[in-house]
Parts: sequence; C-alpha cells; structure tokens
Amino acid sequence: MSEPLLQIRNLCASIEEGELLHNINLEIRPGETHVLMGPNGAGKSTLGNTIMGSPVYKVTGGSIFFDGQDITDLSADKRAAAGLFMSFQNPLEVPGLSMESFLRNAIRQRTGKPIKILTFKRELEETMKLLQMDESYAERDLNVGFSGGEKKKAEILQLLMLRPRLAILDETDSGLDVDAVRTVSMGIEEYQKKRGGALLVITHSTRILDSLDVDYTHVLVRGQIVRTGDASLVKEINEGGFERYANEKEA
Amino acid sequence: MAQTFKVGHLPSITWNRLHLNEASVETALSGNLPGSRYLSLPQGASVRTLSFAQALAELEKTAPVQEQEKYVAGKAPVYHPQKFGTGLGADYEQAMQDAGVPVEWIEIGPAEQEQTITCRMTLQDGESASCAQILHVGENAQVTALYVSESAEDAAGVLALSVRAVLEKGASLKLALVQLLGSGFTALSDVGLSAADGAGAELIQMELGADRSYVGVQPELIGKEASFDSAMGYLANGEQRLDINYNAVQRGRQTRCAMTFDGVLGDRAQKVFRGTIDFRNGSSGSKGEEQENVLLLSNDVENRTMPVILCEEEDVEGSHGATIGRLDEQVLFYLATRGIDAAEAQKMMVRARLGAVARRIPDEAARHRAQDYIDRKVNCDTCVRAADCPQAWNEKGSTGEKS
Ligand SMILES: Nc1ncnc2c1ncn2[C@@H]1O[C@H](COP(=O)(O)OP(=O)(O)O)[C@@H](O)[C@H]1O
Ligand SMILES: [Mg+2]
Repeated sequence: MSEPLLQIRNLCASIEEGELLHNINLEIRPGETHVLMGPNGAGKSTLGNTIMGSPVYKVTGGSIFFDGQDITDLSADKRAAAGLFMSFQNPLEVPGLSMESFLRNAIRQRTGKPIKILTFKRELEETMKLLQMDESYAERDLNVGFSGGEKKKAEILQLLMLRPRLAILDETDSGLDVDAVRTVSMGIEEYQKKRGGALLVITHSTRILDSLDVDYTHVLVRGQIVRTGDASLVKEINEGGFERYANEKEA
Repeated sequence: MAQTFKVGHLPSITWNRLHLNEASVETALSGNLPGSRYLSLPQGASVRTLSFAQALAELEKTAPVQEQEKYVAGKAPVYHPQKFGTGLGADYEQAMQDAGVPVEWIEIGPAEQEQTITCRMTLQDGESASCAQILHVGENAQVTALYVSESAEDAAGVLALSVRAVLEKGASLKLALVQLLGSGFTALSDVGLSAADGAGAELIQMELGADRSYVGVQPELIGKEASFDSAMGYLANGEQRLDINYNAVQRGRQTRCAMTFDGVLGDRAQKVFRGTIDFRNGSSGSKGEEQENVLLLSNDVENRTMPVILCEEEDVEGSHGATIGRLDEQVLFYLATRGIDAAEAQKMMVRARLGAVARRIPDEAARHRAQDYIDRKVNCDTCVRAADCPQAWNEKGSTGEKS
C-alpha cells in the first residue's frame, strides 16, 4: 500500500467561541476518492478550510501531514504550492482581476517558472470548452457577477489548470441544475481518472458521485467523524439519514 | 524664490472645520518650458504663443455668464473667483502669470482623420518648468490630447502644468494626463474645460510619481447635453502627498458627468480628495455621478475624502459612492489557496486596479510606460509584460517639434 498523501491525526480546530473539530483522523492515499457527508453545520467546511490553512480556524491539537511533510503551521499559499486545492462552497468575487491573468499568475507562482503563453492559452481554451464555459469568461473579473453554476465551473476550471495532487470539493454540486452537475462532474472525472488526482468530496447528494469511483465514505456529525465505510455508505445515508450515526456514537 | 499659494478649493465652505477646503502649496514656479519637450500637433492645427494675461483676456469671451456665479449653491460665495474656472483655481493662475509662463493657444478645426496632440516632457534632475496650453476645439472637431511627464526615478524638481480646453458645439476631446515623475518632484496639474451644446470631454488622468502632487480639474458643462467622463488612477506610497480636486459644474440642460477615482495608498502616503458635482440653475434633466475606490495597503496612510453634491435644480440626479479599505481577508485566503501569497496578491490587485485605468490611455507607448511605472513601483518582479508592446515612443508626428 502506498504512503498516505494526506494524513490527519487527532486534529482539533477552534474559533474564539469554542472547538469546532474534535480529534479528526483521516488518511487519503494518492489517487483515492473520499466522500465526506454530514448534516448542515457538522463542520465539513471547517475541516476543508482547516486542511487548506484558513487563518479563521486555529489548530488546537493534532497534526496535518501532506506528502510526508508537516503542514500544520504552513500558510495556505505554501499548502497550495505543495499540491493541495479546495473548490470553495462560496467562491469569492475578486473585482479587477481577470480570470485569465489570475490563472497565469497562480500557475507561475506555483511552478516558479515563466509560463508558455501559447500552451497556456490552448489549455485554457480546451478546458473551458470541456466545462461548457463561454470564452468571454476568461476576460471577466474572477467570479464577479457569475451565477452560482458559473462560479462552480470556474472552481473546476482552476482545479484542472492548477493540477493539484489532492482536491477538496466543498459542495461543488449544491444548487446546480442537472446539466450543470453533469458538466462539472465531467471535469472532476477528468481530474480523477485521467490525471490520477486524489479527492475529498463534500456533498449532500449522489448525483455528483455517479461518475466517480468512491473508495471511502466518512460521516461527520458535530465536529467528529462518527463512521467510515466504503461507497455503499453513501446510499445507506441517503436512505436512512444521519441521525442513527449521531446516536450510535453518543450511545 | 519659493512662494505659498492655495490650490484646489471647494466651491463651498461646507467642510471648513476640517481645514481641507483647499491645499497650500509652497514652491517656486518657473517661466521656462521643459528643456526636453516633444510636441506634436495635428496637420491642420495652428499655434500662437501668448502671454498669460493675453490668453486670459481672450478666454474670457468663452467664460460662463458671470451673473450665474452669484447663485452658487451651498450658500457660500465663490471666494476664489476665476473667469474661466480650473480645478486648482485663481491663485495658481496668478502664480503662473507672475512667473511669466507663456501660453500656447492651439486652434483645431474638424478634420476627416483623427487628430492627436502629443506633449511629452522629460525633466532633468533639479529642473523647474512650466507648460500652459489652451486648446480651442472647433465645432464637431474630434481631438485626442496626451500629456506625459517623466524624469529619472529619483530626480527632483517642479513641473507646473495647465491645460484649458474650450469645446465648441458637438466637439469631442479625449484628454490624457500621465504623470510619471521622479520621487523628488512637485507636480502641479490644472485642467479647465468648457463644453458647449453636445460637446463631450473624456479625461484619463494618472498620477503615479512625484513627492508632492496637486491636481485640479474643472469641467463646465455649459451647453445642452454636454458631457464629461473621467477616470483617474493614482498610486502613492512612501511619504508621498497627493491633493485632488475635481469640480464638475453642470449648467446646461441634460448634461452628463461620470467621474471615477481609483487609487492605491501605501506606507505613509497622504491623500486628500475633493470631488464636487455642482448642479446650477438651468441644469434640469442632468445627471452626475462620482465613484471613489481606494485600496489601502498600510495602516499608516492618511486618506481623506470629501464628496460634495450641490443642487440648485430639482430635476437632477447626483450620486456618489465609495469603497475604501484593505484587501479583504477572505479574498486573500482564496487567492492563497491558489498558491498566491499575500504580497503577490497585493501586487496583483494594485496592478489590476490601476491597469484598468492605464488601459484607457489613448497611446500604446504611454500606456506601456504607465504600466511599467506601476510594476516598478510595486516592485513586481514576476509581472507579465506584453512582449510585443513597443518600449520606444512612436515619434511619428506630423508637425513634431523637439525643443
Ligand atoms: N468563522 C466562524 N465563526 C463562527 N462560527 C463558525 C465559523 N465557521 C464555522 N462556524 C460554525 O461551526 C459549525 C460548522 O460549520 P461548517 O463547517 O460551515 O458546517 P458544514 O460545512 O458542515 O455545514 C457551524 O455551527 C457554524 O456555525
Ligand atoms: Mg459547508
């Protein structure tokens, strides 16, 4: 078995008001796909943000290793440079910064090398086509005035352009219509199957999972992982809800 | 010999308590033109050199009706009366006159092709120079006028600029003022415009350099449906001080005015902005808006803003908006998750914000210089530069003169 890419041990994270994540343990190996489910307010986004290094959450216990390196105290940009990525539940609008120049800067920052403009342009064009995004979006300010679906497509566009080794997808499918979910799923599939990228998929539905091979499913309730299983757990949860797992743990 | 004079006064004294009604400049103006100046005029244009007094006497004929001055809204008198209003005002005009600054009166009529005035001033370290021009843009003529001032990066000196334009019926002027002076300069830049029926002016102003900088702009929209559209961008850091006074006077019916100000302040820079939209009697059906966006890069900057809207008419629409602040923490985190650290994010945002203004400069070489100046100032080592953009100035001018 290969070495874990992401290894989280006894992770606790807090904000001023109190602890939100309690003793989280999670291991993701290269190329694996993990699903993270749980009721609203369970702490799923908090976990994603903490793995990414958000300054909002303070790690009050435990550690995060990525590719053998302790990243618990690294800034978010260094984690990204190491190969981590997160598709935001609510992507931010960045007025004044065009998507294209943003992507160019991000790629150059990550690789430390000047980029080949023509190769970049071609890849951008092809990827936008795959995601059925109009060319004009390249020129537009990042996420400014984008619809919910367009924002999520832009996140997946960044995923494909930046080529991380592990991507956290935080409710990338929420609020999208059927067609948009299909398109976004195609992008994720490309990342998973053609590039062997690892995934931590936070989701409420099964639609986005239809085209993905799922290795593990975790259930997060009130800041704790209460159950881990294989792909079949997703179905079980969708039929039975989360309540029994929450009770199981407390009992 | 240094003298002190007031510039950039507000048209009313509403804000008196703040002592920011105007700025006080201490400097010595020179009657000399910049030693190195490239001036190019369109084929059909004519130019006469007049004394300041002669030029003012001639301008008076185009000045707005005096009677109306009595009814300045805001209930305060115009305490710096000027026959042909400018943003920096009467004291500056007087100082230029006293210094013996010559005025170039440029007449331009309508033509088939696009007409462009280029005035490029390259100042030496220690140089004090002035340049005053009056553009008389004839009926339906379309003119682009570009003024660029440059020097070595750390040079010191004084540059006093004055541009007045009289736009006859249906005339259109695109005016660009790009200040790229060295870190020891005092830069004064004064603009006054009058627009007759259907005439329109567009102004792109970039203040990127100098140590002390005073800019004033006063468009007077006199005729029916006259318009003014401006985009100003500035970048001040270190100990730089910048004083901005825009005063749009809307006199005619259905006039339009839209002004935006995009700025970046870092270190201990200080900025005062006065932006007035003044709807006079007779301006019914007019609209005026101003929008200010300031990005603060440090806690030690001083950013003072005084938007004023004065109304003598009921049937007008005036608005002002402002977004002022540091880069948002959440946005910084978002960019960080894409591998962009805080310092780089800041540079990107500065370039993006000012680049949007620079892109509107109607000359490729000047655009490139402005962008380059910004890059150097934010010390952007990884910024992308368009490989095919000409570094050198395009010296093709129909009646180019090098002095
Ligand atoms: N920055 C924050 N400030 C205050 N409370 C927060 C913050 N972030 C998360 N929380 C709280 O922590 C809990 C988990 O939130 P979140 O991780 O967003 O849940 P999920 O993504 O599972 O719906 C919620 O009760 C939420 O209100
Ligand atoms: Mg969430």
